[in-house]
Amino acid sequence: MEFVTPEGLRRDGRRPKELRQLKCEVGVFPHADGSATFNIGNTQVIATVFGPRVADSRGESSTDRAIVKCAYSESHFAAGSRRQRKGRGDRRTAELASTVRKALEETILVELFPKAQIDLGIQVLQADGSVLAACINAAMLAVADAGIPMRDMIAATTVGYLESTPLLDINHTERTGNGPELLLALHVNQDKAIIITEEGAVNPETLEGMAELAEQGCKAVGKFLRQSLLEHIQRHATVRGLTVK
Amino acid sequence: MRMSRNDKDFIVKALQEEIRIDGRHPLESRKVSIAFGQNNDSASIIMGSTRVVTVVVPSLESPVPDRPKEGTLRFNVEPSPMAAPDFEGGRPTEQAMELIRLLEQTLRNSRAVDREALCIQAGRKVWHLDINVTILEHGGNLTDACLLSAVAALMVFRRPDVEAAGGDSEAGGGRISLLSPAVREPLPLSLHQLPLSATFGIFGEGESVVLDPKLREEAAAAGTMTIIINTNSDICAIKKTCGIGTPVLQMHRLTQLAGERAGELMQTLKAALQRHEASMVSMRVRRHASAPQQPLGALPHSVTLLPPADVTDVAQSWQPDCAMKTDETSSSGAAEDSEQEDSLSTGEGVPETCEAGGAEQSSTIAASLQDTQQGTLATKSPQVMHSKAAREHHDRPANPKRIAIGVEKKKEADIPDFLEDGDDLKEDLLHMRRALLSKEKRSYM
Amino acid sequence: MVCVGDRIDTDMQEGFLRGHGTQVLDGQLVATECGLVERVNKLVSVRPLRQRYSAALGDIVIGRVTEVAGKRWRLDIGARQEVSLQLSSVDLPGGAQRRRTAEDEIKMRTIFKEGDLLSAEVQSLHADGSIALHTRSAKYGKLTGGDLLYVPAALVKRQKHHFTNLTTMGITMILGCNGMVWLAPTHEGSSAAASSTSAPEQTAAKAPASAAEREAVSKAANAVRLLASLSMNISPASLLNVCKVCAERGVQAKDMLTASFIGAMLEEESQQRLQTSL
Repeated sequence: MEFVTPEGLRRDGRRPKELRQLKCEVGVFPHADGSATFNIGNTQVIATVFGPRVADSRGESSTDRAIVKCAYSESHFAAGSRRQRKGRGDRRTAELASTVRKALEETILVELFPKAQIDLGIQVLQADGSVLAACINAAMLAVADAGIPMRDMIAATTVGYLESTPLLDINHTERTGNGPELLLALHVNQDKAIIITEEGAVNPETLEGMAELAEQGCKAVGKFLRQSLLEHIQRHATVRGLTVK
Repeated sequence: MRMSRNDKDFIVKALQEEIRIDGRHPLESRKVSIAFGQNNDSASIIMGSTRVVTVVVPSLESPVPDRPKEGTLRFNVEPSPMAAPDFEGGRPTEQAMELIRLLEQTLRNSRAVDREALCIQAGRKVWHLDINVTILEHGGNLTDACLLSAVAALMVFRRPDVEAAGGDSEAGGGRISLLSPAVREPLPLSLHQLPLSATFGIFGEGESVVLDPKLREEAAAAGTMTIIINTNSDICAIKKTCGIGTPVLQMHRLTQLAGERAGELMQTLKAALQRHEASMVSMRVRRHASAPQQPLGALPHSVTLLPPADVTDVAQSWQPDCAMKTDETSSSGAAEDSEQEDSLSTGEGVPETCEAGGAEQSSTIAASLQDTQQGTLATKSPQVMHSKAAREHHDRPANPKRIAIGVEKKKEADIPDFLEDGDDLKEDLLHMRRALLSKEKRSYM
Repeated sequence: MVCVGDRIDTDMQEGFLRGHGTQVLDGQLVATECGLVERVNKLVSVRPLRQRYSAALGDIVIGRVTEVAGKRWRLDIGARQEVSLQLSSVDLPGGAQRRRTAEDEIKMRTIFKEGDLLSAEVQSLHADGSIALHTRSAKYGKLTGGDLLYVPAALVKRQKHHFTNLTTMGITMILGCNGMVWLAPTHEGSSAAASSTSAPEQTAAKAPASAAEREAVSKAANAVRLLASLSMNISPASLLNVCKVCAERGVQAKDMLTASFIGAMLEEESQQRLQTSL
């Protein structure tokens, strides 16, 4: 299967450095403290946040910071074929939940809420590559919606490498090429990488190229997220009659 | 691990001046000691105070339906409750799951182990390997230790050769018979690449890093990053999933350092494997009593500690009743020979050489035990031996074994090299040797 | 209006005091929340649109008892922090002013038990952030015979009077700062909130509300729900305004939450704002 044509077009018509279409909505569930949906191409993820609230179990809570918990679940219809096993509880989903949790734990100012607990819930509706990156982005939007203070905006993208070309934001078809994959979650304003995971053998020079592309991708996603959040605030502030300076 | 704020501050402050709490340079790693099991199925890694053992257990299973021509691997990481106070038995913790995922990713998904070579009968029977990693002691940097021990175990692992009898596989015929090691040498696994990892602890605002963090450094660190590199200098995996953010450039710098570290580790691993191979060969030589005597040069020096069982075997074979016309008897003959010639001097000679050996850290415990056994037996029943010795003295060549032992003594055969100076086990071994020698000395008096 | 990580412009002022929702990075003031920047003299803070209720001293809140523990009740007020109501902070039945004895402790359930709804005021915040409430006033205490609504806490501003009597409709309204709103028909003589000093028999003897009363309460409740869905501030004035528009258009209580009425309400609101701005 050819992934990049000689003219430099990918299978879905994108250029190697192009992101898929981004779409998001903030505040979709009024009952949750914060919620958001995030779509990148065909990948759709919903995130909800409850908290900060009093920790459920005294033993787990920490006296100087809030604990962050993440529950991750993939719908049965998320992947191409109906999943036979449960979409949660197995090792792979546990690792994904753990990664999202750690990314947000590093981003939220947890020291401001001692003995509290922040619950993240992630539901993957459609998985078409870059799922973990989408989860992190959705979670960030939900946390912003909940009014929980954060160190910086976190944005994540995945970069693949097939046929000697680094490809930004790989989709499911491109994943089947079994090339190396790099996930980068970045604090966009401070330029600090929070999560770096790379899978598949790649030589260091190629990795440098992929990392640079990932950084650019994260910044682009960060810009989009910022824009969406500002629009959301604008809309609501107007309704409430609050003046905007 | 809970640490007081003072401790944490101290570690961080010391790092600002490039000092680590155990005196290492920030980019210096702990010495790694690798030992392998007798049955070629396990590897034990000691990195400072971290000890990890991996055992590979093979079994014959049916393959996974969507991959009928491939063997299967399953990884399990067991943090033993004796490793750390916060390790409990029961459900695997998040940390254990992460380690399992890492092993799966680097050794299974990356096709490091050739699974098609593990296929016996497509669709019916394949080799299934259970790779069980047990963490015996948690002294920091479990990632590196677990991966290294898993890789070492896979490298040393030998699976029995199989013979699939003829027959129609569709009809259900074709019996598979495992060939015992005596019939055919067990086969090693086919490994395409060997991934080795380097874990860094990140401190401060993400600028200062330390290689191979100890337990306390890990607890005081703001984050960790693991980079896994294989023998082709390709990056197999990078994992930075917790802790403070670092600039992306840092990753590139660490990749380079990781490459160097992986190279060092590979050399250590290969050296350890070679020594293990050699000791396995020499053990087999000793075991097969009827095997012809090997020429001098071929006898390797042994570094592994012979388990007590072997020594008793050898001792029993030297009972005066079992008149074995073997090299062992001849060696014992030669031994008492020299004892007879100069019993006292030999008695002193033995400890002397041993002392000298001790001084230069030579002379295996095995050799010294053999010596003492010879000495004791000689004194027990000198008369019987004497006649035998007299009989065999002339037509027997100078006992190569005895000379070989001398050779062993003079060579740089060390006390097992995974023991560091000041280590309790080494002290015990030295003490034991001294005790045995002194006992033997007393028996002469 | 800022987003997380944006730099807040402080060049206009000489110095600044860092308020909620901000952090200082490399000498620059950076926002930690998405919202609007508020500048009060030198204090610069960012207020987000939505936030979980965070108690402040003197707030009037409505909460439900979740646990009766030793010498205190634990309540749920939807706050970030832990909330407790000490035995020493409630009025004993009969108006006794004495030290609480062990017997009082055993009789705690007769005052408030699990599931009871009550109004209280925030007395103090402990060092670890947990909230202490008190009901040492006639107007606070157990609430029965009314309607409880949950709205976003940010829509209930701190006002002069949180206990209001809407005489035109015959209902009493309690606006909890934690976003819980209580509406109940007014009873003559005393406020709708049955205080803990009243004997248990009195509350039991309260007659069930009549149909007219219930209609009034549901009208008010729908008005509050409407305001909440439009993210408009909730106050007695705004509530009465909604009811006025509703009466003008002849809309019944059950039709208040239909799309057409909401649209009409928005129209009214925009008209009013236009007028005020002119």
